[in-house]
Amino acid sequence: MKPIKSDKQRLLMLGGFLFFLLTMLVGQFFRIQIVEGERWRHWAKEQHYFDVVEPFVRGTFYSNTSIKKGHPEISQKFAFDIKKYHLYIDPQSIPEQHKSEVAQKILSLTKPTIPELKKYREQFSKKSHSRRVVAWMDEATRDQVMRWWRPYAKKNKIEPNSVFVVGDTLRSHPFGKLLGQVLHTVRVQKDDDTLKSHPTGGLELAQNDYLQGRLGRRRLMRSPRHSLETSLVVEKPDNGADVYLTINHYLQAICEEEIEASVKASKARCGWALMMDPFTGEILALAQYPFFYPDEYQKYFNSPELIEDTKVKAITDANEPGSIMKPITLSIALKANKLLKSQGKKPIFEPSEKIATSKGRFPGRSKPITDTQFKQYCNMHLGLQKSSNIYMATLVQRIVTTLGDGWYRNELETTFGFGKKTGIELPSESGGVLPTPGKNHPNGRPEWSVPTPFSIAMGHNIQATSVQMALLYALYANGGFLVEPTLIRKIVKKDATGKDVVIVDNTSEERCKKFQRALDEDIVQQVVKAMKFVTKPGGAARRANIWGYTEAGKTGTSMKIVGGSYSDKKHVSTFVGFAPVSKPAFVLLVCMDEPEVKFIPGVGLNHRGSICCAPVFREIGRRSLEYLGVPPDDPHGYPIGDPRYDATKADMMLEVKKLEELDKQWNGAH
Amino acid sequence: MLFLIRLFICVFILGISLYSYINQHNHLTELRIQVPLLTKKLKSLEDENTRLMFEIEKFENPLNLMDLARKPQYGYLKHPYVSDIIHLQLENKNEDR
Repeated sequence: MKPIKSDKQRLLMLGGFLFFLLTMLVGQFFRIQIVEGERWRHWAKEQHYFDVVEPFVRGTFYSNTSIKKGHPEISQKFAFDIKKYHLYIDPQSIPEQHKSEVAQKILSLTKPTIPELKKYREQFSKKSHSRRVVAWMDEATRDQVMRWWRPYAKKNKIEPNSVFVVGDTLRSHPFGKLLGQVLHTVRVQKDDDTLKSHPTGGLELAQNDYLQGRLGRRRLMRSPRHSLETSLVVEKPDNGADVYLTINHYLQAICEEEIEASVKASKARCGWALMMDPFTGEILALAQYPFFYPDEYQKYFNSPELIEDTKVKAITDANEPGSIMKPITLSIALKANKLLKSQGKKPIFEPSEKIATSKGRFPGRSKPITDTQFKQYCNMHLGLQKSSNIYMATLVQRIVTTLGDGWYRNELETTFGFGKKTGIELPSESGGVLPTPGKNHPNGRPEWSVPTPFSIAMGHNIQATSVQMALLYALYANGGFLVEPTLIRKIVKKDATGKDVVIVDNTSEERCKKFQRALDEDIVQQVVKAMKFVTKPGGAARRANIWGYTEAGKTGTSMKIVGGSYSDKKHVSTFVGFAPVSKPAFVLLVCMDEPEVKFIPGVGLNHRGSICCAPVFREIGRRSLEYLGVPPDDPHGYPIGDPRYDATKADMMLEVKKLEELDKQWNGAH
Repeated sequence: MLFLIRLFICVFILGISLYSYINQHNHLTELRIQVPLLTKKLKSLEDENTRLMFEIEKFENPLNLMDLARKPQYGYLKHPYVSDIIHLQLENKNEDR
C-alpha cells in the first residue's frame, strides 16, 4: 500500500521536530558544558565536597643540651603540643530513659576533673545539641568510650552522633613547673576562627609570632552516611617555629632545688637565681621560688597573691643593689685614675693606699655613713673584703672633686648601662633607675643632689634588676666586655620541603664580636683580685667559697623602700659571683626577697646576703661545676681539717694571711 | 582465514590491554582509597609518638633523675670531668673507599 501524502508530511514534521529537539538539547548541552561550564562545575564541587581546617602545631621549646662539653645529650623539650580529645554529647538526641545509664558509663570510662564533675550531670539536661562533658582525654580513653558507645547506640536505636569527640592540642610541660615563670603557657580556649592560642605571658607571649602557625585546609567528599576522605590537602598547615633556648634543663633543676630549699630556710617571701655564660650572655638557668605551674595557670591568675609568682622578678623587679655595687665603684675609681694619669695629673687613689674609714661624714648628708665592721683604715682589698661603705664613698668623693659628678654619672650610664633595659627577650623588663639631675622623685625630693654619688657608691639611691647586675659581673668574668643577655640560641622553622631554616641565630661568633669593651683588662684584674678576698677567711661571704674551685664575688643587703622610706624589716639580699676565676663557666646571682630578720646564734643575721645567699651560691656552684665536668682548679682550697687542705698551696691563702696581718696592724686585733 | 586470525589476535591483544588497563585503574583506585586511611594511621602514630615522648621526658625530668642519683644503688655514678673524656675521631669510611 502506497503511503498517502499526509503520512509523509507527518513523518517529515515529526522528524523535523525530533531534529529540532535534538538541536535544542545539543544547544543546551553547549550552554551548560561550555558557556556556563565553570559555574556549574563550581556549584557541583560545593555540593559534593567540603573543606575542613587542618590544624597547625605550635612551636616547641627546647633545652640547651650543647652546654656540656664532650658529653652532648639528646634534645629535651620544655613545652610542646600533644593531641587530646574533648567528649561532647547532644543531650536532645539522647532519650530521657537512657541518660542516666549513658552518664554513668561515661563517668566510669573517663576520669573527669573535679570542676567538670560538678557540672557533669546537669549537661545531660541542657537544651542544646553540643555540650562538653569531659575535656582533654587521651586517645586510649577516647577509643574506650567510642568502643562502648557505637554498639550501645545501635542496640538502643539512638542517633550515633549523640556522643562525639573533638580533637584539640594541649600545651604540655613534661618537666612540670621547671622554668614555669620564663616559659608561661597558653590559655585553654583558642581563637574560634584561627585556632591560634592566647599566651599568658613569658616566652610564649614574647615569641608568639614565631611559635604560632597558620591553619591548612583539607577536602572531604559529601556522603549521606559519612564523609569520604579525598586526601586532598588544599592548603598545607604552616606549623610554628621551634625555639631553642639557652637554658639547660639540668642546671635549671639544680637552681630550682637549691632556691626552694633556701627560701624555705630563710623564710623569705621569694627568691631567685640567675646563671649566665659570661662570654656569650646566654642565660643558662633562671629559677624562682615560689614556683609557677603553667598547667595550673588559671589558679594563679584568679588569685591576687599568686599572680605575683607568675612574674620573672630577676627581670621585672628593680631593687637597690646594695654592696654588690662596690666592685663597680672600684672600677670607676680605677678608670678615673687611668684618665688622670693620661692627662698627667695625680690619680685619686692607690689601691694599696691607707685610707681613713673611721668617720662617715660626707657633704650634703644629714646622717653619717656607717660600716657593719668598724675599721680605722682600709686599702682597696680590705675595703671590698670588709665591704666598707665609708671607703667606697671616700673614693667617689675624690672622683666628684677631681672629675665632677657629671663624669661619674656618665660612667654609670654609658659604661655600665644603669637605667637602660638590657633587651632580654621577655615582656615587662624594667630598666631600673639611675637618678637624673633636675628630676624629682614621686615624693618631691630631687633625684640627684650633692650626697647622691656617695649613696650610689655603696649601692643606694640607684635601682637595678638582677639581670643587669649579672651582666656587670659577667664583665669581670670575661675580661671587660659588656655582653647582651639572651634566652634564645636559635629559632628554627621547617620550610615547605621539610628542611630546617634558621630564622634567628644567636650562636654565631659575629654576635659575640659585637660586644664592646667597657673596662680595660688591668682594671678588671685588679677588681677580680679584690673580689677573691670576699669569699676567703676574713671576707664578708666566706660561706660562698666553692671548695676545690676558685671564685670571685660580692654579697649585698639592701633595705626595701616601703611607702617612700627605707624599711628595716624588709630587705633584698644578694650574692653574685663567678667560678672558676681563670676560665669562668658561669656568673651566678642569688637573690632573696624579704628574708626573715633574725639572729641565728653562731651564724649571724639571717637576712644578710652573706648568710642567706652565699651558701646557695656555693651549693649551686658546686653542683653545676660537677655537672659541667669542670675539673677543680683549687685542689687544696678546702676547709681547715679536710685532708685536701693545704694553706701554702690553696688559692689566695698567702695573700689572705698578708691582708689579715695588715688589718691587725692598722685596725688592731678583733 | 588469515584475516580472521589477524582479527582474533588484534581483538585478543586489545582485550588484554583493556583488561590490564582496567585492572591497573582498579589497583590505583584501591591505593587512592588507602591513602587517606594510611594518612590517618600515620597521624595517629605520630600523635602516639608525641604522647610517648611526653611520658619519657616526664620520667627524664632532671628533678626526678637527681632524686634517683641520690639513691645508694646509684652512688657510684658521677659526672666525668671534661679532661677525663677521650674524644675518638671516627674515620670517614667513604673517604677510605
